[in-house]
Amino acid sequence: MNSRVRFEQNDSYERLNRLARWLILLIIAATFPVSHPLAPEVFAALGAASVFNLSRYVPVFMKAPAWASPIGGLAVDVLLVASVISAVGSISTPYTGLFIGIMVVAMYRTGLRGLGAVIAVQLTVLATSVAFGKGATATPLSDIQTVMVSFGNICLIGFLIAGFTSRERSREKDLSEFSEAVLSEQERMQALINTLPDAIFVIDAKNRLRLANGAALELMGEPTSWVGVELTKLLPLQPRSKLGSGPVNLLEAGTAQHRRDLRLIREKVSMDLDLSVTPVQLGQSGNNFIVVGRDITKERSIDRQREEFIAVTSHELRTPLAIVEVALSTSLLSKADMPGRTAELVDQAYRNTLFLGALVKDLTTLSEAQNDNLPIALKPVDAGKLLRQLGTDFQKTAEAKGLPLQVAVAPETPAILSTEHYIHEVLQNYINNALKYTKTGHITLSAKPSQNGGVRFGVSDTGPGISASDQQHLFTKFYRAEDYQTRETGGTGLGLYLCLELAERLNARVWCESKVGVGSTFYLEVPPFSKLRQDHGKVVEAQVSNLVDQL
Amino acid sequence: MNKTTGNKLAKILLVEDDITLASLYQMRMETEGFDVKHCNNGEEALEMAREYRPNLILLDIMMPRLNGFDVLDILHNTPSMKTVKIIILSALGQQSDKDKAMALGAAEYMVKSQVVIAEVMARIRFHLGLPQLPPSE
Repeated sequence: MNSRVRFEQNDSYERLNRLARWLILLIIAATFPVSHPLAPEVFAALGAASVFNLSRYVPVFMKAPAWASPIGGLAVDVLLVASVISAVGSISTPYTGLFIGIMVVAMYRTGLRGLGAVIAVQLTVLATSVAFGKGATATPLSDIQTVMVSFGNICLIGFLIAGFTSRERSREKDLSEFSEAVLSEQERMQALINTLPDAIFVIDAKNRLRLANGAALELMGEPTSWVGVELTKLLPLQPRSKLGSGPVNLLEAGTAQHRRDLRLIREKVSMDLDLSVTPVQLGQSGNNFIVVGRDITKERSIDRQREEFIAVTSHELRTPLAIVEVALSTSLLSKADMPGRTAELVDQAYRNTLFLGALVKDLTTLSEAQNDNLPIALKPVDAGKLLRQLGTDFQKTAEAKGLPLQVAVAPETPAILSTEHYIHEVLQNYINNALKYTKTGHITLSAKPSQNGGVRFGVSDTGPGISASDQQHLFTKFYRAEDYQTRETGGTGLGLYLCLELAERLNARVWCESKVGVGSTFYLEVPPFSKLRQDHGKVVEAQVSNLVDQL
Repeated sequence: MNKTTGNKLAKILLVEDDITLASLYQMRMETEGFDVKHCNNGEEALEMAREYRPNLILLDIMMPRLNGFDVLDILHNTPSMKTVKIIILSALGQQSDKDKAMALGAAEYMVKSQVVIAEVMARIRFHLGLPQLPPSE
C-alpha cells in the first residue's frame, strides 16, 4: 500500500520534472545567441538533453530504477546549465538563475541531501567559471535576451513551486484518508475480536500476556493491569484430575496443543475450560502463542450425565437382561413339555429380550462414539487381515443361510492409522445387514486403496436392493426401509446411524450404492490418518490467526 | 442330555456375585451335563480353584474383595492352573477391559447382554474340545 502511494507520487513529480526540463531547454534555446562561437556545442547539448527528457516518457526505461532516479535527471539539468554558463563565460549571466529552478526540483524530489549535492556542483561550476572563464570570448546577451531569460526563469520557478505545493497537498490528503481507512479497519477488527464469545489471548514465548479480547478479560476477572503480566498469574489453571497442584503453564509443551482437562479456579470462580494453544509469528516480536479458551462447564456436566447413563445401561441393565435371557433360553430347552400356548409366549418373550439386549448394546456403543472426551487410540490397521478375520467370523452364519461369503482385498491396499474396533464395528453392522436381507446369491467383503491414500472398505450383497428415496434416510436414527407389515428382520434401527457416528469419529465416510433387484454395496472409506473431528476451538483459532495476518 | 448317565462332561467353576444369574447359569450348565460349582467372590474363587480343580472357569470381573483381573492374573501365574481355561463374562464392555483380560491370559472375553447363553455354552464347549449341540430351533 505504502509503496503504491510512493510510486504514484513519484510519477506525478516526474511529470512536473519533465515539464520543467522542457522549459529550461526552451529558455536556453530561445535566448542563446546563435552567433556565439560555442553555439553548435550548446545546441548539441540541448539536443542531447531533449533526447534524455524524451526517454523519460518511455515506460520501459522508467522501469529501470537507475534510469528513473531523479538524481540522473538533476545531474543532466545541472550539467546543461553549467555548460551554458561556461560557454557564456560569465557568472553574471542570467542563466545562473536557472539553478534556482533546479534547486527547487532537487529539494522536492530528493530532499536536503539532493539539494546539497546540487548546490555543491553549482558552486564548483561557478568557481571554475570564475577561475577559467576570464579568457572566454564572451558574447554578452542582448537586453531583450536577458529579459527573456529572467522572465522565463521567474515563470519556471513559479510553475515549479505551484506544481510541487499542490501535489504535496493532495498527497497529504491521500495519506490522511489512507490512515483513516487503516484505523477504521483496525477498529472493526478489534470490535470483531472483542465481541467473539471465545476468549482470545496472545502471549509471548515467556508466557507474558500481550493481547486479550473482551471475553478473555472477563475470564481473568477484569484485571486493572495485564499487559506484560504472566498468564499463569492472571488465569490460574489446574488439571481437573489433580486439583490444588498449582497453576499450569500452557507453554510447557512448547507446541500447539488442545486441552479439555483444565479448570480455572480464581476466588469464587470455578470453570472448566477448553483451551487450544497455537504458535504464531507476529511481526518482529518473535514467537507468540494464540490461546483460545471456551467455558465448557455446562458441556462437561452434560458429558458427566452421559457417562453416568453409559454406566447405568452397561451395568445395571446388563445383569437383569442376562438373567431374563438365561432363564428364558434355559426354559426353552424343555419346550416340548410346555402346555398349550406357553411355549409360544416364552418364545416371544425370549426374542424380545434379545432385541432389548441388542438395543442396549447399540445405545452404549453410540454414547461411547459420541463422547468426544474418550481418547481415540490410533494404531496401524491391516485392512486385509481385518477383512479375512471378519470373513472367518461370519463364515458359519453365511453358510447356514446358503450364502457364499467372499473376501477380496486389492494387493496394493495400504496400511492405515486408525482405530480397529470402530472399523470392525461398522463392517460388522454392514455384514449383519447383508446377511439379514439377502435370500440368495452371495456376499463380498472388499478393500482397496482410496483416492485420498486411505482404504475403501465395501460390503456387497445380492439382496433386494434399496430404493433411491430410502437410500437418503438409511443412515438416520431409527429409520427402516421396510414398512411395519414386512418387518421380519428385527434390527434396532440404530445400526447404520451408529456406523455414521463411528465413521465421523474416525474422519471416515460412509455411504451406500444400490439397485433395486440387483443388490447393495455399503462403503466405509477411512483416511490414512484418522484425526479427531475438527472442533469449534480449531475453527476460531484459524479465524483469529487470519485476522492477525490481515492486521 | 447326559443327566441320567452320571458321567459329567467336565468341571466348571462359576464365579459370579449375582446370585440369581449364577443359579440360572448353574442350572443351564447342569442341564447340559456339566459338573458345576459356584462362588461369590474372587478370594473364594482362588480357594475353590485349588480344591475343586475345574477344567474351565467362567469369571466375572466386578466382584467384592478380589476382582476378576486379579484372580485371572494369579491363576494364570500358578503353574498347576496353567491348563485351566478361563472365560471372562463381565458387564464391562470397553475395548480396554477386553485387551487387559486377554493380556492377562483369558481364553475368551464375553460381555453380558451382548452374548446369549446359547453362545456362552457353545464357547465353553469349544474351549473344552467338546462337540457342539445341534441348534435348538
